[in-house]
Amino acid sequence: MARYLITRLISLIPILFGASVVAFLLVRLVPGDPAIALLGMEADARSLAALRQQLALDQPMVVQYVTWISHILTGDFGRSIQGGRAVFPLLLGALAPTALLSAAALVISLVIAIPAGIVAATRRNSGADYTASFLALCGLSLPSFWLGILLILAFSIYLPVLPASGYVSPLVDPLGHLSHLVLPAVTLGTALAAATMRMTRATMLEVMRADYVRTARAKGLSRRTVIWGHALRNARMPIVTLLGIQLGQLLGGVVVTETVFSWPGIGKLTVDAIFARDYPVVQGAVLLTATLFVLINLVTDLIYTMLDPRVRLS
Amino acid sequence: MSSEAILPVPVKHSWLRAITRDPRAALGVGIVALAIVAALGAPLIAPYGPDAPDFVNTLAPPVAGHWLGTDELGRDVLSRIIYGAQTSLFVGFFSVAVAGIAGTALGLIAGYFGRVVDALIMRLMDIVFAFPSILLALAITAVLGPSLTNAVLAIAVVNLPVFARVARAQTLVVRELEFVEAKRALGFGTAHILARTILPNILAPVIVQGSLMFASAIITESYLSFLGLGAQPPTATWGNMLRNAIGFIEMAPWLAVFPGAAIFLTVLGCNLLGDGLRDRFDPRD
Amino acid sequence: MTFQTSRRTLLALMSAAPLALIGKPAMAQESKTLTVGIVSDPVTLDPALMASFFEVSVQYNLHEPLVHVTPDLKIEPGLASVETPDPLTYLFTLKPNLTFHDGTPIDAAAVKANFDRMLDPATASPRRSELAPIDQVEVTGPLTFTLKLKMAYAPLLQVLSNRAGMMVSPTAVKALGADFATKAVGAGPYKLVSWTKNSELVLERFAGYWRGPAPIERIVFRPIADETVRLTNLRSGTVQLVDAVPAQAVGQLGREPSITLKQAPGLGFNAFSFNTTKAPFNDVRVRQAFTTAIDKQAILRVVYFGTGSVAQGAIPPSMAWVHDPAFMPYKASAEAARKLLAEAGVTTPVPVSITVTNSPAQVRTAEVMQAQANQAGFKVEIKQIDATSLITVLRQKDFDLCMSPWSGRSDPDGNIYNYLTKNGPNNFMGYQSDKVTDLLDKARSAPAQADRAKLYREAETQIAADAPMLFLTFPATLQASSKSLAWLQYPDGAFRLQFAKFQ
Repeated sequence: MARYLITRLISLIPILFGASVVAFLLVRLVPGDPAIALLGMEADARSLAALRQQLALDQPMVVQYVTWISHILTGDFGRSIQGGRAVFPLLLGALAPTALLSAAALVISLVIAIPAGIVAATRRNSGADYTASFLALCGLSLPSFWLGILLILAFSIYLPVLPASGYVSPLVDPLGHLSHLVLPAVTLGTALAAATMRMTRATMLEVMRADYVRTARAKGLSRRTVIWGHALRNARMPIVTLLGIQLGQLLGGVVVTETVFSWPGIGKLTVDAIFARDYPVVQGAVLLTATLFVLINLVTDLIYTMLDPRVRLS
Repeated sequence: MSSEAILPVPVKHSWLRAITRDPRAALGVGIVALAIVAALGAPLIAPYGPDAPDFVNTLAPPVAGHWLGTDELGRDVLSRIIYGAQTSLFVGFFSVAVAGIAGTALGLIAGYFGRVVDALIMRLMDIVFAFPSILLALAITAVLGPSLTNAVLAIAVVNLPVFARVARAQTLVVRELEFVEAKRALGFGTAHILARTILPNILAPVIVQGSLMFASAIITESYLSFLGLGAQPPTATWGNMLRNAIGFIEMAPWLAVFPGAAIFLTVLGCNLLGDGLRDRFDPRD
Repeated sequence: MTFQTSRRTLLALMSAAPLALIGKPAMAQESKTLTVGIVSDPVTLDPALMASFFEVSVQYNLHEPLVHVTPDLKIEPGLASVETPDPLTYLFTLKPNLTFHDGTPIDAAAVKANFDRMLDPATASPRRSELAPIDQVEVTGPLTFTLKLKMAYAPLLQVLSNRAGMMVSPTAVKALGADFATKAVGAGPYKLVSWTKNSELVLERFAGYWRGPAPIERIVFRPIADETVRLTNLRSGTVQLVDAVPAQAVGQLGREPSITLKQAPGLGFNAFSFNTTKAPFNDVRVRQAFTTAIDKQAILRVVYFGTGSVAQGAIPPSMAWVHDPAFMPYKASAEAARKLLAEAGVTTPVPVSITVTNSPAQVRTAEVMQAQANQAGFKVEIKQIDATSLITVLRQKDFDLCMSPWSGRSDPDGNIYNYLTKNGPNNFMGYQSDKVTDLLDKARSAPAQADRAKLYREAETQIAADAPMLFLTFPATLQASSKSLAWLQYPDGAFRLQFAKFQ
């Protein structure tokens, strides 16, 4: 197990290295000068030159990259060009709201989707199945930024019961936090719920056709016992896989939801930094997201192998 | 992403007939057909030009004559939605086509040759895949500058790994099949085997994947437009109509409701159709 | 807080702000927190480095300039009072016993350290160009210092009433290093408590403020980018004051009984630069034709919903001593524009591009111009860029017609000199007029306001004839609060919340 883990971890290195190069180059290819972006119209040529020198933007790209990545390896993510904050605390500060939002969306999606998926699968081709499946497809087809706008329209403008956007820390005001959380979490949770429901349904259908389930039914065990005792237990693996995929998707999904609801998470931070040409922040945030993403995939694989001894570690 | 290989099944009868027999798929075909008709026939169907302003009649609510109201420049919303179908379908089709062709080629090569080639291509795909797709698409359009073709390219790049993975997984299965061995034994060249023998046998799952990616491409395009990174004004796109509507959400909510509904319906149609295709080609169900 | 100090506050407020602050006793509700909805987080809190419009709403609460402007743009003392024996010499006297937020004294040495820092190229301060006319900062006593100028520079005090005059603690600058940008220590009515990026900036009343402690104890600035959401928060009471009310909401908001809507003529303009260095806009007749083709009233109606006013030049009506309301060099007419194009001998339709950032209001402006110019013999293509690329596009002259909006300064010089003189840093047009440059140089150094006004008007007439820029509108400053808040609106849109009070 330990050896497997180490091999897998080592295989992540080239991917993360590649991701860091892509992030580094991509943000530099976006037209626009960070020095001008920061100092604006009023800056004279000497101030701009001084700033470029301070930010080491006058160095060759390779030098800039090597400096950046070697600092990263010592835990130094550098400072934001816009405002001079240290990047690492900035990332951590943005990670908390993202984690809270993702967790809420995940809970919403699981609470709706798993029961719906099971009901749809066990009563295949019933009215309930058709309705649930169709709703799931609708959820999957809703552009989340539009759903966000509709929710704001309904619950902040016509029926002003929930704040339309913004963030309150749960440590400062737990109730305020929850009220700000509802709309973005529902927005993000909808697409997740749709995907989860479809996956649960498909998995349950497959498992229920398996021989042991048929045997169990033939033995005269109650339908309920069969579903909850046998089928669901065997469906948990694909659902774990799905959870992994979902967490990965969440990292993308939060980008849209956070920008619509001004939720100060990692997605909004990244988008804002791209538009402001804040190189160190973009690079740090993208590297962090990519790391999280590959780690989530790894953990999913690990849980998978732990749940199912048949999967051999290779 | 589905990495399990789907074995090719012989197509017994017209897929279209099979699709239309499934009511959900039929609904999908209907919606997609409607969108295609709107896109192709826009100049004939639309009651007004898509960017004919009327500075006197701005932000008019839906009434006879302007069935979906007018926008902040007095342009007819219905006409702009009809013309907007052009952008959405154009981006959806070409981004999927580009990603599908390039991704399939990469997956085919990786799967067939294996070893270093495989490792190289797939690690590259892993790198692309390690970025949240929307963020990568956003960054690429920011690099290339906002335009319709650049949106197509950006969406194609982020979808590349999906097609490469599907094609590779399928190639790995097909490669070992007897008739491929036979061709090799008969001395056919690699290019011939790849193009004539393997490719036709891996296409079905790629096409199914494509129909599902079409839906997500439309959403991504509208999001890029929503951020101001899509087609240039005054071109009507559903995404930039939504973007403009935000400022008038209290005065003129219909501006935000209708373009979003157009995106939703079109994407729903594509998904219904994609589900139908998958059910048709997936022998497990 | 004792009754003593609150009385002093009230007196200070009454003398500084002739507003409806009287009536209720000063003690009532004075410990309240005011939450302000602003458009975006500031980039930096260091006035030497501020370069964005987003700091405007915050800056005067944290920092105090050497001199102040009143809402009608008159200079009054701030941290210092000033005398001007001749146009090249400014004698400042600091108020005694003042300290920065960290308790270090505000003395002449500290002021000199501030100027030295802003003028040092290594600081990369945008203030350097504004302070360029300063030859020498001379400390003449513990609380007195003299600014000696290289040339006469009438706008100096207006410049010092803004970011260039905001004094920060040199001790804190040294101690905090790069963190100073996020933990700035100034001398304004409020001091920094905490700043969470994209979430909230919290300020607390500074007891040592020179006007006496401000009535409101705590100020929280919340960045809320979406204009509708800002208003929703104002209506629900989550925030009590908002910046940048969208023009389309003005009508509705003005009718809501629980809300105070304030609008004032702003300081800035919305204008577009013609690229006069290449065809087709290197021909003055084509520029005049385009200018004639644009119906500014339509833009004011459609984009600004009738707020603000149309612009014929760079100097807005808020600068009443120089703005000439009768100045009307162009009358919109598609027909006249076609005639001008015919005279220029160009083949129509003339293909031109309009470059704008992707902000909806700017795109809308471009779309209206596109429709109007297409009627008059042009064929307009709109190019959208993102806001960060704008300055680069302008400097590289990579455009035909490109948006060049300006937030404005309280002196006309700050609106016109950098744009229209031959070597002006914001002269993106490549406009080379000796006459205009000469007039603007004279206007900047003439000591008498009447002479300056005459020179500016003459320059504006020449500029209109040469049409290097297409001036569209003077946007109004639009802000709103809940009825319970009394506050002062300034044309620059900056909040000065030492004058705000719950009633």
